[in-house]
Amino acid sequence: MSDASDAELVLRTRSGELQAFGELVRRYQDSVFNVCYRLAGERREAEDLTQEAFLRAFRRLSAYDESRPFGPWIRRLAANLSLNQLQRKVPTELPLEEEQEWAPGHAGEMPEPAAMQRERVAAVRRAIRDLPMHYRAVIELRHYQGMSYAEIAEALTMPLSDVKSHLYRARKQLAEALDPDV
Amino acid sequence: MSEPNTNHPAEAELQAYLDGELPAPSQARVANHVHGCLACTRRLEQLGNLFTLIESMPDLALGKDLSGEVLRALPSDLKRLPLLAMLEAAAAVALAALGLPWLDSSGLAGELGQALQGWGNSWLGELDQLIDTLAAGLREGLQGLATPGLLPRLPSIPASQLWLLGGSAALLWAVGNGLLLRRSEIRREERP
Repeated sequence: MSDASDAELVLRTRSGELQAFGELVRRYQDSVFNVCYRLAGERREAEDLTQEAFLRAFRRLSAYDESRPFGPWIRRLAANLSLNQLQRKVPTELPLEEEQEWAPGHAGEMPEPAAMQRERVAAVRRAIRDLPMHYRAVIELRHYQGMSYAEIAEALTMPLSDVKSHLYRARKQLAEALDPDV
Repeated sequence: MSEPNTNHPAEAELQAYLDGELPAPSQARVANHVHGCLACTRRLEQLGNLFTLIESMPDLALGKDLSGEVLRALPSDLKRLPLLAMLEAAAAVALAALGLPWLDSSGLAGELGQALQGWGNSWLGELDQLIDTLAAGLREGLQGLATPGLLPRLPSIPASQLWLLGGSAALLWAVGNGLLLRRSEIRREERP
C-alpha cells in the first residue's frame, strides 16, 4: 500500500477500498495539519479541522483530477475549509499551554543559535496568528502554498485588487511585528 | 547606481515585483530602477528577508495518526461511494429486467413453480402423515391433529406472478442499496 502512488490510492478509494484512503490520510495529515494550524493558531482546533478536511476530501474525491498532484489539492481544500469555519467563530484567546509550546522557556538549556531560532520561529507564529483572518489566508496561500495572485483570488472568491491589498497590508504588519528595521 | 533616481516604485509594487506578479514591462522597469537605486535595493532586500523568514518556519509535527479517526468518522452512507452504489443498483435492475423475462419466456419459471409446488406439497404431505401417525398414538386431546389434510397445500404460482415477485425483490434491493452488505463492509473496515 505504501508504495502505491497517490493517483492509485485515489482510484482504489473510489472503487471502495477505504484503507487506500487511510494511506492518503497518513501521507498528508502532517502538511494538512500545518495549514490548519497556521490559520487556526491552536492545536486542538487544527486537529479537528484536519480531520474535517479529509472527510470533505473523501466526499469530493469524485471531483478530484488524479492527473494533478494530490497534496496541493488537499491543502487548498483544508485552507478553504479552515477559513470558512474560522470566519464563523468568535475569536478567542489561545490557551496558556499552547502559548508555552512556542515560548522560549527553555532557552537557557539550549545552545544560543538554537534558542534564538526557536524564539524567532515563535515570534513568526505569533505574528501570523495575530493577523486578521483574511490577511492570514493570503499569507498562507501565497507563502506556504505558492499560489499566484489570480489563484488566491479564485480560491478565496475575492477580487484580485483585494488580494494585492491584503498581501501588502499583511506583510507590512508582519514586518512591523517581527523587526522594526524591516 | 551612479545617477539618483527619485521615481521609486511603491511598496506594493516592490512586493508584486518580488512575487513575480507584475506585467513584463513593469517588471523590467522596476528591475531597472532597483539596479540603480541603493534605497530600493535595500528595501527589496528587507522584503526578501521577510519572505524568507515567513517561509522558513518549520512544520509542526502532528504527533499522532488521524487515519483511524477519519475512517471511523466517515458517515456510513459515504463508506460506499455513490458511483459504486449506483453501479450496484443499476446491475440489480438490469439483472431483473433481463433475467426474469428470459426465465418466463423459456418456460423455466413455470417448471420452477411446479417443482417448488410439488416439493413443498410432498414435504407437507410427509409432515402431515408424521403428525397423523404420532397423533394416532396419543389420547383424545390430540385427536384433532389426526385429521388428514390439516395442513394447507401450496397454490400453483403463475409465471407472471413470479416475475412480479422477483422484480419487486430486485427493486427493493436496489432502493435499499444492499443495506446488509454495507453493514458487513463497515464492520470489516472498522477492525484494527
